Amino acid sequence: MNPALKDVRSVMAMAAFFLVSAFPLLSNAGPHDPFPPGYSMGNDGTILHSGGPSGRQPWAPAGFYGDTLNYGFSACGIDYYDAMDNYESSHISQALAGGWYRYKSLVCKASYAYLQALGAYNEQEGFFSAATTAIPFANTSLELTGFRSGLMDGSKAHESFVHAGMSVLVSLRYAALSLSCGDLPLKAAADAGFDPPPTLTAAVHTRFNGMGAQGVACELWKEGDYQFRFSVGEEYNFNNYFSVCTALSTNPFMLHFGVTVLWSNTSASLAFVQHPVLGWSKGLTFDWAH
Amino acid sequence: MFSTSLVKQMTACLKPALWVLLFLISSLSANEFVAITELLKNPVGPSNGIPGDASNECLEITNLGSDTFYIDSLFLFDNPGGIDSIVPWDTLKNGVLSPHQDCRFNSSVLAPGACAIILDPDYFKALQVQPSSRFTIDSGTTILTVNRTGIGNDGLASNDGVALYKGTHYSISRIIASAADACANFTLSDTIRQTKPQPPEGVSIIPSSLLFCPPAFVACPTGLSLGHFERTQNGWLAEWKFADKNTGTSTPCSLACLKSGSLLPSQASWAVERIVSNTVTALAQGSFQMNSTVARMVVSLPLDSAVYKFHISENNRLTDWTIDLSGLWTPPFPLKINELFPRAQTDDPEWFEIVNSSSMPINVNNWRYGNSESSFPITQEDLVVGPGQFLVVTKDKTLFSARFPAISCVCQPDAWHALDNYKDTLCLWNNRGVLCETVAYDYAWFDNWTDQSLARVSVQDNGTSSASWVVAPKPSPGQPNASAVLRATQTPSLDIGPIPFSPNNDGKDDFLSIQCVLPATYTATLAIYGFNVRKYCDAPMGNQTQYLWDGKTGNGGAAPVGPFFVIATIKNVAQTIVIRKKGILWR
Repeated sequence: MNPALKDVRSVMAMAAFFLVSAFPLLSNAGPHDPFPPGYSMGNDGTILHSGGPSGRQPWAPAGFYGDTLNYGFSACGIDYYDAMDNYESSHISQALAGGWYRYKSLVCKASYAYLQALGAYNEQEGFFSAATTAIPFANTSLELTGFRSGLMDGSKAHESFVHAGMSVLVSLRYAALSLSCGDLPLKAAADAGFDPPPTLTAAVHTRFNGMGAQGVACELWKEGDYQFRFSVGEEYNFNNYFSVCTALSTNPFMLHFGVTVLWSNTSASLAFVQHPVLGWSKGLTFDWAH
Repeated sequence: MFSTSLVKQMTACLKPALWVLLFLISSLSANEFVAITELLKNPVGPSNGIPGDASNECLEITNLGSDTFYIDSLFLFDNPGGIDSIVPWDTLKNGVLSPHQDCRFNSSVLAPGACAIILDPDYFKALQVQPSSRFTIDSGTTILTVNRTGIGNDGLASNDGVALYKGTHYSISRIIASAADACANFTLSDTIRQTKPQPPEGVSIIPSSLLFCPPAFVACPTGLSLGHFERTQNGWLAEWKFADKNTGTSTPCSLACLKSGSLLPSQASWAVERIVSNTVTALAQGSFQMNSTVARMVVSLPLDSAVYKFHISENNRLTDWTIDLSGLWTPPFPLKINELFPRAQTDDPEWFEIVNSSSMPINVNNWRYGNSESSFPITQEDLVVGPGQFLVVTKDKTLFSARFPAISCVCQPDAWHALDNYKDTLCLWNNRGVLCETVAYDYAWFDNWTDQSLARVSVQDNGTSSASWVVAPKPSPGQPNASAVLRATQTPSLDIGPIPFSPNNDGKDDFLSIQCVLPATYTATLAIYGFNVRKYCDAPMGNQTQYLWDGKTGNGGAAPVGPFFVIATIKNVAQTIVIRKKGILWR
């Protein structure tokens, strides 16, 4: 490679890294969802393979994808928490579906999520992310998310708002460093309590090694005071078809467990998240790529 | 001239003869019934002052008979040194009592049913010195006085009794009425005693029993009520007395009644009724015989928790009295201690609340309270607590009434058994000395007890158990315990609402009601979590059963819209229970 071009790419990678880092430090942070959906639910996003199902997730930043496959689809369903002592038959659940497409060094992802609670409240989320892999070692993406939430009986007007985000994945020899800044309001909701606060996430994800793959992730956001969340996870591959993962997170304390079955470019993941007070959340994800 | 002197001579001769005739008539009258119906021995003011004991002692007499009573040869005495002739108040000699212009003066007769007040002659001076010391006397009341400087021998001491008699300074023709500890044929060498009750300054005594011997008096519930006998209803006076021995299942009850100021009307009838759960059964009934002043009858009353009423019907007008059987028999545990306030403050005296959990009225006269170390009478006067009614027993009635002015059924015992601030046992004994109630409390049972009252959650349960008592959010003397309804439960529960709730200050569903109902031995901590699993805030329930959440997080920010969770962690010594409820927040 031309040394000059190499220098330019290095400078661009550094610039992208600092650009992404600077955004969240200027803002507040914190998403509504308690944990990431899909494949990442079982490891709280600590395990990331740009060439595996974690990088292909349509609801994850496009910058996290780094494979040669051209397109794919995913679907996920999550049932949140244990049955409680009221509305026993009414669940809080979310369904997600999306796809992605790669054209040369451009990757686009789009997904749609629908959350309903107790048959009385719903949230819809449209997600779009575009990334480029042109920068060596640093895949950078921009995200755009539109939200719409409201009461299902129509007694109150729905509220809509739009957020933006940026992500970068820096791939190194033994690990990858991911940085993302989400929920930066482009169009804020009229009242407080709708917009989740912006969040800065930084994580280190190892490549597969003799002990599987490991990862740590940190989140920072401002909710009154600055809040910090730490996660650490592990995934172990028994073979090319079967893997298990687990993760632990703080603030709030939660335990994540996941099982993934892979067959060629298709995978299915079953994940569980346990919270000491609210109980178990269950998630199931299917992924197909070509 | 001749005729005039003849008339004067005849008048001079006839006048004594007429007085003798009147005396004979009055002494022979079968329908004479004059009673001392009020006696003020300890008026407001110094013992030798004017106004005070030297001027404001007084006596009320009522002519309950059907004949006119003549105030002649009428004397009052309390001991050999205190024999007073009763005379009409002479406005020329004794002075004009301006505040009582509507009363009757210079009158020596007392019409049937009428009242007369025997005032100290110095009462006139008292009005001159301090007009506000005047009595309130019903209009038309006959005003009498004594022919010496004061009533009785140097006034009436608190244990002095009095008797009215017809006769002279040196002999008794017949006793008219008395206020004394016992029925007796007094002689002028006797000292008459009347020791109970001894009410506070300014409070008179009135008879609680006139138709049976021995007479009994109680403190006037209204303090002073000159000019009328308050124990009559529609002109009727009824009393009853039980035999000393009963059969165990029933008791003979002697009833007596009279119609004030007249003979018993023949068209009137009487009945004794037994009332159980609104079912009325007549035990005895009859009509009155003419030409008698007092009717007497005997009825056998079963000893049970029914309510017994004696009623008189006259011209379709009913007058009834509840016969108090509780002095003879009560259900096993009729009175319960329902609330305690041991931790007194400067202006908030100690008190405890009693509730009558039986179906019969209970007279707490001579009931005792305390514990094995000391016990004292609640009261030594008749004080009836009706079924379901409350009685507050306090160390200081004045302070208590200032703190709770709406609570009227309050009693201050003569001696107070102090309630320990930390742990104590309190018992009730009935008038026969039988232990009827025991409660206990211990500060270790309660997490948040500072200076609140302790409320009993259920009078059906053992009052010595920690499960029976909770710290009351607000004191409720004389009223049902609010916590009794909520904390008498055996199982804890948590309710939230409305769902969804919208804390947007539009006046509708702006608060989430979190109601946590706990058995007495349980404590709860509540927390509110968001869908993002972060704890929004703790719900400080304290001793309340309800908390209203305004939709804000612990740092004052607006909680996110969407699902949220209310988590109650409920503990007692044996177990921990977690109740989780979910809701929706919208803005």
